[in-house]
Amino acid sequence: MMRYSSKLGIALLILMLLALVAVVDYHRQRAEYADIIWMRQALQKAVGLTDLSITTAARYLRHYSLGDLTTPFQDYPASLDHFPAGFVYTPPDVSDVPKPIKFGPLPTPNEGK
Amino acid sequence: METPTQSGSWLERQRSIIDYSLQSMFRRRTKNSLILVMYVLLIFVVSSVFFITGSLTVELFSTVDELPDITVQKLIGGRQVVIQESYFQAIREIPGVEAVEPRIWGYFYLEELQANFTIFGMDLTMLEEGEYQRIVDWGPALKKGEERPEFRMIIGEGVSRLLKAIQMEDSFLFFQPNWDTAIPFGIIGTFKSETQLQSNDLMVMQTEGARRVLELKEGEYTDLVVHVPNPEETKMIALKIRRYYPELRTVTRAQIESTYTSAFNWKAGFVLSSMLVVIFAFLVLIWDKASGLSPAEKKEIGILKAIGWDTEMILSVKFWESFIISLLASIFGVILSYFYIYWLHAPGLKEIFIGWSTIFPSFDLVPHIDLKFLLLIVTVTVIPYSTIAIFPAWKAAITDTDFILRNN
Repeated sequence: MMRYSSKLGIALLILMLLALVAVVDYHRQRAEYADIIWMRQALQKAVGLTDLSITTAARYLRHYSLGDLTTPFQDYPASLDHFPAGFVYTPPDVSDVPKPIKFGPLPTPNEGK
Repeated sequence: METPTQSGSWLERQRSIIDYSLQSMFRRRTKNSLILVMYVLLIFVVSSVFFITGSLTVELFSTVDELPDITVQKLIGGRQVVIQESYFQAIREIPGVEAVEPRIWGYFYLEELQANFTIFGMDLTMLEEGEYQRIVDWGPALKKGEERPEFRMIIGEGVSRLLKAIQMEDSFLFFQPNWDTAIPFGIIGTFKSETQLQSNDLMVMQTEGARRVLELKEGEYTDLVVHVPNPEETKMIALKIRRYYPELRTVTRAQIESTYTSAFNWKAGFVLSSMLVVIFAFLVLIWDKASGLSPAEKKEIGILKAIGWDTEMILSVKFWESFIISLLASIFGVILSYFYIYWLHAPGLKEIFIGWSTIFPSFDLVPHIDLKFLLLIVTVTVIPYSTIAIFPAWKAAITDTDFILRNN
C-alpha cells in the first residue's frame, strides 16, 4: 500500500501544477496588458475624465474622485447612501472643499501677485 | 545509559512522522475535513477580495499620469454648479499656469432603460487623427450631408450594447422634456473594448452637441482644467485659485491619487462584513482547538508517551498535522480565488462593485498579485493556526503519562 506521505506528495504535486497554470496565465495576461494600457492612457489623455466606469449607479460613484461633501446625501440632509457600490468605496477626500464660513474681507485676485 | 539509536536519516524520520500524522488525521476525518473546508473558504474569500481590490486599484492608477493637473469646479451651497467664462482669464494670468481649458460634460439619464450615461463634449476631429484613431472602432462613414457635424458621437461599448437592444445603434435620438423635437445623434464609432473600464458609459460628442444635450448656455461650462507644467507649483497654484475665488474648488492630481489609494481600502466595510461569518466560524474552530484536546486525543498522547515517544516527537506530529492542513488550505484557497476572479470574472463579488448600474463592464480584470498580499494571508492564517494547535498538545505531552491515562 502507498504510504500516506506519498499520497500527500501527489496531492501537493497536483496543487503545484494548478499553481503553475495560474502563474503561466498570470504572465500571459500581464504581457497582453501593455497594449491595453496604451489604449487606456490614450483615451485618458483625449477625454480627460477621471475614474473607472465600473458603476454608474450614481454620479458620485461614477466620478468618485470629483464628488463633493453633499453628493451622497442628495435626497435629503443626512440621508443614507442606498447604492450598493457606495458601500465599497471609502468616502472621497473632500479636504479641499471651501468652508462656508469666512470672517473678514475676502482676498482679492490682486493679492499676492 | 546510551540513547537508543534512531533508525534512518532525519528526512526519513520526518516522513514517518508525517505518515503517522496523516493517519491520525484520517481517523478524525469528519472534524479535519470540516476544518479544511472552513480554512479554504476563509483563504478564498480573503484572497479574492485582495485580488479584486488590488487589480482595481492598479487599473485606477494606470492612467493617473494622464489626469489633468488641476480641475476647477464652482460650488454653491456645497454643490457643483456651472462655471462662467469670466474665470478663465483670471486663472490664466496666475504665474505658472500654462493653459486653462473649459470642459463640458455631465450625465444623461435615460429613463426607459434606467441607464445613466456620461456625456462629454470635445472636438471629435481630434480622435479622428493620429494615434487616437486606434482607440476607436470606427463605424461605417456617415452619409455625406445627412448628419450634421455637431450632432455626432462616439460611444462606449456598454452604451453600444444597450442601444443595440433598442435598435438605435446607428443613431440615437436625444430628447429632453422641454424640447420641441428630438435630436438624432449619429454614432460614428465605438471605443475599443480594451478601454472599457473607462469608456463603458461614455458618449463623447462634439462640444456644441454636448452643450445642447446638457442644456448649458453659451459661456457656461461644467468645469475647468488647468495645465501646470511644473508639478512643484501645482499645489500653490490650486491654493491661489481657492484664495482668489473662495467659491471655487480645486482638485489636484495628487489629491486624486491619494483618493485612489484608499478607494478600495479593504477596511471599506463590505469586505469585513462579508467575511465576518467565515472569520467567526474559523475563530470558533481555533478556540475549540486551543481550549484543549479531546479525551481521545489526550489518551493517544498518553499512550505514545508510555511506549517511549518523547515530547519533541509528539509535538512534531501535532505540528505536521496543523501545518499540512494550513498548507493545503492556503495553496488551494489562493488558486481557487485566482481562477474565480480572473477566469470566471468574479460572479457574485462583482455585483457589489457595480451596484445597480444598468451599464456595466465585463470586469475583465488584469491580474495583479502582490507578494505582500500572499504573505499577509499566510501570516494571518497559517501562523496563528499552527501555533495554537501545538499548545494544547504540548500541555498534554508534559503532563505525567500515568495521570493522563488514569484520568480518561
